[in-house]
Amino acid sequence: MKRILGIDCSPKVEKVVSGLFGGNDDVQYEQFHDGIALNGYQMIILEMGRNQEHVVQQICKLRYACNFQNIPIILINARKKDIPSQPYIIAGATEVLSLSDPLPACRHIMNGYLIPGREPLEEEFEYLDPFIKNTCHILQTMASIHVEFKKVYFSNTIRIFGDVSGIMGLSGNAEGTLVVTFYWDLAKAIVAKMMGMEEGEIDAELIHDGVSEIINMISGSTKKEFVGTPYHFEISLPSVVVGPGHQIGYLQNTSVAVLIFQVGTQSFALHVCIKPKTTLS
Amino acid sequence: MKAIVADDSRLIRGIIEKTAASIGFEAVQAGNGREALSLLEASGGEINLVLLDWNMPLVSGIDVIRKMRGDDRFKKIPVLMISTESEEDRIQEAIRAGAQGYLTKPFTADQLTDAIHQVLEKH
Amino acid sequence: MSRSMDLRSYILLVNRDKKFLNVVCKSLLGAGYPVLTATAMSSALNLLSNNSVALIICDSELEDSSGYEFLEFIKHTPLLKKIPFVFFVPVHDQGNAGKAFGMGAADFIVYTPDSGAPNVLMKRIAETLPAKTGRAGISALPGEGFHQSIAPPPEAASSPPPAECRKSERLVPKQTVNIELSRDSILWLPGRIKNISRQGLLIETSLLGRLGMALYIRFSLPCGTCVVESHIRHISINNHKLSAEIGVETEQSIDWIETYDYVVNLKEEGKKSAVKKPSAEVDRPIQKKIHADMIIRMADNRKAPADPLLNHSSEPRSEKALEIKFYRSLVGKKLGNYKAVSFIGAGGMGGVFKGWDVVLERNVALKVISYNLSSIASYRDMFVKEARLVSRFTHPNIAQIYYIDQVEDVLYFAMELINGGTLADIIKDRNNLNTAKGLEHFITICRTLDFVSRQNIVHRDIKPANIMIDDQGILKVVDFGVAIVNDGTGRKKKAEGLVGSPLFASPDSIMGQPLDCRSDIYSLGATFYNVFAGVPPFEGDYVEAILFKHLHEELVPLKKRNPILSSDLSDIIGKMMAKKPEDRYQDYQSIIDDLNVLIH
Repeated sequence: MKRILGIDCSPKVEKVVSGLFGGNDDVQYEQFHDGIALNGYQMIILEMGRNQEHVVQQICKLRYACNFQNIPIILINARKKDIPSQPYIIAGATEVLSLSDPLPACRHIMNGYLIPGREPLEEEFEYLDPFIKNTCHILQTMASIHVEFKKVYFSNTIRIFGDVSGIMGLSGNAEGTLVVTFYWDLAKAIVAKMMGMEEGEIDAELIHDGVSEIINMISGSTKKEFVGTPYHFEISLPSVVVGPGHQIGYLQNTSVAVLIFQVGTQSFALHVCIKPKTTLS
Repeated sequence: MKAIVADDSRLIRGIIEKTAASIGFEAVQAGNGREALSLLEASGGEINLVLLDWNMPLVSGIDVIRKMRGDDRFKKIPVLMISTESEEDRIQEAIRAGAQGYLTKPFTADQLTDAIHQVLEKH
Repeated sequence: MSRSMDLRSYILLVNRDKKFLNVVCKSLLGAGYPVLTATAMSSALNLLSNNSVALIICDSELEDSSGYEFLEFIKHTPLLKKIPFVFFVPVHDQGNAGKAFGMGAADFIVYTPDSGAPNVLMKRIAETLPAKTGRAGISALPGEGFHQSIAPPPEAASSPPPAECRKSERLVPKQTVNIELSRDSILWLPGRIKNISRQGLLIETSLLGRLGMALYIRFSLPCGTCVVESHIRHISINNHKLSAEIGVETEQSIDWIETYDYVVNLKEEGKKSAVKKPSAEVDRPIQKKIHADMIIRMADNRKAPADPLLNHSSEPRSEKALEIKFYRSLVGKKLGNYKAVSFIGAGGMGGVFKGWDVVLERNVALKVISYNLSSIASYRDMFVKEARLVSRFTHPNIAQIYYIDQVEDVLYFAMELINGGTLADIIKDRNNLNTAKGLEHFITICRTLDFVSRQNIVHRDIKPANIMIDDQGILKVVDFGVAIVNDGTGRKKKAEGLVGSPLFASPDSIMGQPLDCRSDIYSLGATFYNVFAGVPPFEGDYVEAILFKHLHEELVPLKKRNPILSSDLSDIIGKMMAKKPEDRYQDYQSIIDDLNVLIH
């Protein structure tokens, strides 16, 4: 049985959603409120209000509440009018469906998202393990912070939802992109620990600097472990991006591994997209 | 004693400066290799140690070392390279260029202190 | 001093006397100038590398060097040399004015201990640098080594400076122009042009930068993509958690001049901008693939959807969009014993993923059947039946089907994964197959289809996109999804309309007649016509038009399209593509025989 949460759903949408899932799944409904708890749900269904900005805000808040977990947020447009889905997707919605879409399509798409995610392949672990190990090591060494790797999921795009993200483009034998993304508070706490300062003394520039340095160290220390393997890459200059909701171009036919790490009750994510130029076989 | 700390990250400069200060170095900061060189020029021979990042804008750390080693005034100033570049051939490249020591990021304060002491001893 | 300096933001005050710094700084702040202070050249350089500075006011002696050394460094640093440098020195230093001007100082101001240093300075500055009211509140407070990235106030950043300050006019593009920015030309992030001048751009972006940092800017122009180099000259961040505005000075290259002309000449109104939104890029390859590989179905005698090839009709398009959404929902999932590793593309029949077989530990291709087809019982049965059929025969040039299964309503095949491209890719890339290689492939496919026809199977969808060449150079016929068993009765079980691509469809399949291997022979002829000619045998803006031509229009002989080919080859393909099945080759062996003659 899967647990699904419908938020702000009108009776019309409730009826459709309940019809789609039948009696096999547990669908609950709630009104949107700040601090909404999403733990334990496999899918969030949000009915789209009229005000785009408000909806985008709601999605952002729901994404925050997901705490980097891969919970699909399906936005349902109950109005006749077709709307561009891009702003909602960028904000963190997983998919935008319309009540005017054929029901079988909606059912298949939602069911698809409810299918459990796969575990990494052995060959994927081969290159994910060093990233995991080094990310933990870097924060332990530079900030004396204990970091625990929680889980990994796979996506076909890099969509980042943290407040501040460090990005590294990879070139050489293997190409790709690495992105580390943090919520502001955790980033600030980490940088304060790195500097041995109080959080109040940390300004925005130091946080940007810190995130840039973290992705730099993750890539720099990991690349050495790939010498002589197809995953060996060269690094360039780290970029820092601010604000949640970015989509970054990716390489075709490559999967993006999203590694979730935990620091106390807070989380951050490392996106690893790496593709050897020569095929492995 | 005076040290130049060159890194494009203000955060890393801050961390290094702190550790350097704890063992008696007064640090001047440079945000890139060119600044580091101009600080050397301006120092009038008072610099006792140079702590250099590898990847910096304008002039890279390795180029700073090469320039220093080609200049009689700065030839003898010990250099510790501190970089995320962690592959053995990169480390060798820095040593060949004239760095006395090499520390890979991430590092702890103790590791940095040890590395500085080693560089000074070698010197 | 030029008035253009007020494009920048801070006054950088450098003096080794902290008390003096405080006094002067306060007066400058009081007059509405934002100020940064430093006591040493090194800290001044730090401030310069992180802030936008409009004017440097410097003493002759600094903590770590002299003002002249500082000036010399500034004048030899391309990114900094344009900042006006003013000496502000005690009266006993005045003898050095000539030296200072010779080195490029903009002004040399002398004060006496009793004259009130700030007043002298204020007067001289007021003559040249008008104060901006309302700035003082956010100005940096003085302090040694003070390192500040608080931006100038919004009005200073976003409102363009007075026109007389500019070397050329700043224009706001009439359309939204989305661009991409990169530090390393590997990773590109989106941005939007706020305004443009001949010298550079003001860009809104979430990518953070520092002053002086090199930045590549990518534009999509109608003539292609164009990358321009630039340096960050100005940064304005109103909120550290949101996007920033950065002003860049561009390298004056031909590319930049072209780009500038293009952007300033954009017409108003919502006409689709040629500069595409980079974030849409993610969906684009998949969409394109569908259009190139479209299969249409005209079941139940319904009219063909108006124009799926050109996508004029919105209905099939939104259905396609929903199918893409369906495939997207399966990325990173596990279907039975298979892991969906990465999405490869979508065709008319389904979406293809690179997959991993957990039990047998090998790579596979997972083909997820379009839910539109899999939810129709007759189609589902057909897929299952044909999959069973194809999985029975092994042939080196046929992509093997390993397994077919349905998980949570998702019907999928697990098939041999072929690393490589298709004949369609070769045609598209104009990767000219030389004639000898083309003939070799032609014969291989004939042999393969000969094998297929001997099993009484008609593929029904032979086309360049269904012939793959793996990285070992081995040809593989794929996609037996719509293949049928020809049971020899000649009876047609069900009117299901045209199955297959209109560009390569045989007249007999268009007419809904019972099919045998001669229909595949026609399609194979059309496929290699495309390979050798570079264009399909019949083209048209509408599906109906293409189908009509297959039925009624005389084929332009291949030799006419590509005169270097032998007329024998042209004749062979002409015969394969005869309108009536009985006028074609009746089996593959006779084609092979004729082709063999050409080789030897």
